[in-house]
Amino acid sequence: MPLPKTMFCAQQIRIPPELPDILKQFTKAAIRTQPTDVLQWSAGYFSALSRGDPLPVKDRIEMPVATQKTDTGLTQGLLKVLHKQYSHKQYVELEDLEQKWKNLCLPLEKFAAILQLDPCEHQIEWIKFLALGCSMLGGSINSAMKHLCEILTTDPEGGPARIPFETFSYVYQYLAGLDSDISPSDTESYLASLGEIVDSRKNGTIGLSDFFVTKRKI
Amino acid sequence: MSTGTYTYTSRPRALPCQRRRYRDYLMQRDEEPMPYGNIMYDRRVIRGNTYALQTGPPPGQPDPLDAQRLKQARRKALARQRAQDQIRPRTPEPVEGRKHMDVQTELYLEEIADRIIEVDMECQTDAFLDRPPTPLFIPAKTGKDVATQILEGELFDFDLEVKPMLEVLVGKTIEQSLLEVMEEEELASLRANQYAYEEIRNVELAEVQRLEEQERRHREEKERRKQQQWEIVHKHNETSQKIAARAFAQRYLADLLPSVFDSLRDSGYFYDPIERVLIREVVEKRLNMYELKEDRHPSLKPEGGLGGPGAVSDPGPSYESQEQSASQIQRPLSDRDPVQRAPYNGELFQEREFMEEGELLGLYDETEMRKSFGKEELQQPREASEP
Repeated sequence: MPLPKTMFCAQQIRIPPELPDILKQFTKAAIRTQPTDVLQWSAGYFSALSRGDPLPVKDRIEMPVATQKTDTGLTQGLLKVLHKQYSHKQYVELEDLEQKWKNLCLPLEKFAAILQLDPCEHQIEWIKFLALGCSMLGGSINSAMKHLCEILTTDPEGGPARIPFETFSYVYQYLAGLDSDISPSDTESYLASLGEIVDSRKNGTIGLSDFFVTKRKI
Repeated sequence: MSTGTYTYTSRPRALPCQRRRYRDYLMQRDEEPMPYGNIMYDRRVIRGNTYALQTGPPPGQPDPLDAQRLKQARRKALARQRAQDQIRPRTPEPVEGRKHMDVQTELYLEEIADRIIEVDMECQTDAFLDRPPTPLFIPAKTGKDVATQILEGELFDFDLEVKPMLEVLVGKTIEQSLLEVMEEEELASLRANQYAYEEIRNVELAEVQRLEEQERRHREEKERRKQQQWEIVHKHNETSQKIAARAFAQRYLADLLPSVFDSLRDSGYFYDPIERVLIREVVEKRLNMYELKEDRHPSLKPEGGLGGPGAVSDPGPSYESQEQSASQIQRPLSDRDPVQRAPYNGELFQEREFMEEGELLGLYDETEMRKSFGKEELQQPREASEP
């Protein structure tokens, strides 16, 4: 119902009933995601919401680490957000990806840097981009694989982050291929040894504990 | 008689009107009684106290006469009055040739008729009509009407009015969402910690299980080895025992075979059939000769050599036959007998004695004695001794 032409009292002001809910969800998303440029991110949020796409929202609040202000600004949570938005597609267009990158208020130079590692024309395979992002997060390939496992897993957080072994071996081969230090034979032998462990478990998934030794103790 | 309430009904009818409109000629109507009168001035109505009433009629008859006279006088007076009233200036009589007409002088002419025009009118009320509602009482308007005009923006400023609403909306939203996010965050971090703990626990459990498995396998292996070793030792013992027993048995029974054969030979189970035949013939001949001799010398006591044979002969015949058969069996073994007969004849008696002993003993334990004494050699001389 449009507002009457003249309003005479405050009681005539009508608030749409869906508004408080939308506002609340938006506020919660903003609190959780903590974007540096709220307007930019809000534009991205609402355009994704209107299109029915997955929202660029972090699932857990991630306290911004001090180094991130000077660093890439890329965190595991942000990669997870991107993954949530793109997991249903295999190939993503670069312009679209750039837009979403901007929406998360990440610096564009880093985007270019990532793309430099594996140049491609208009589209890139999403899993490759994710792998490159993970490698940017951590120094070594092992830590990159750890981040990847934690992003891709469907297990609850903190649990055994398991992903299918094919995915793991594909990404590992890709990253090892890009990295000039690791020789193909090493990759093969490493993957073969991991494959044995996986086969013994008979469900085809590989978890964090298999290749990454955690230093936590009860 | 009377049935309760009195009722009277009559159909409504219009009463014929007997009333004249105008006054008629007076004197003629004098005798007619006045149709009405004022009840207040009616003589017939008694007024005042009734208890002090003078009895009029008892004074009697003159009263009715007086009353009549009075009535007449009164009537006359009235008539005179009326006449005087009527003798008023009237309109003069009409002129010759003319007639007075009565004319109405009122504004509106009215038809005068004795007979009043009667019109039957009917009226009917609607059946079952409800009483209509009372019309609203709208009081008469009092006061003055005044008008005024309000321009836009004078009464209501949107921004001002919406501010408190916005404050509440935005403030509450932010507050609520902050609370909710914190709550969710707490729950999520708790859950994450829980899972991480479970993970570590699982890993450690797996490790413990593995170690346990290893331990169990070691233990089993040890047990098996011990068992194996024990079995080996046991077998070894058994084998050595067996060997010992076997050796002993072998030694013990070493002489069995020869002794068995000896005894058999002694019993005469081995024999040379040709020799047997020959010897049989010889023995039969001898026997016949003995019988002949005995028949001839029955008193000869078998003390010495004969006695021996004679004494022996009682259990002897059976024994002899037994001996014969034994010796017959033994014959084939002792091939050298015919060779040895001759040198043994010298030692005949001694050996015979031995033989007797041996025979007696041999009755109880043939095998052993034969074995020990090497009977076959003694048999030959005995055989030779028997003629």
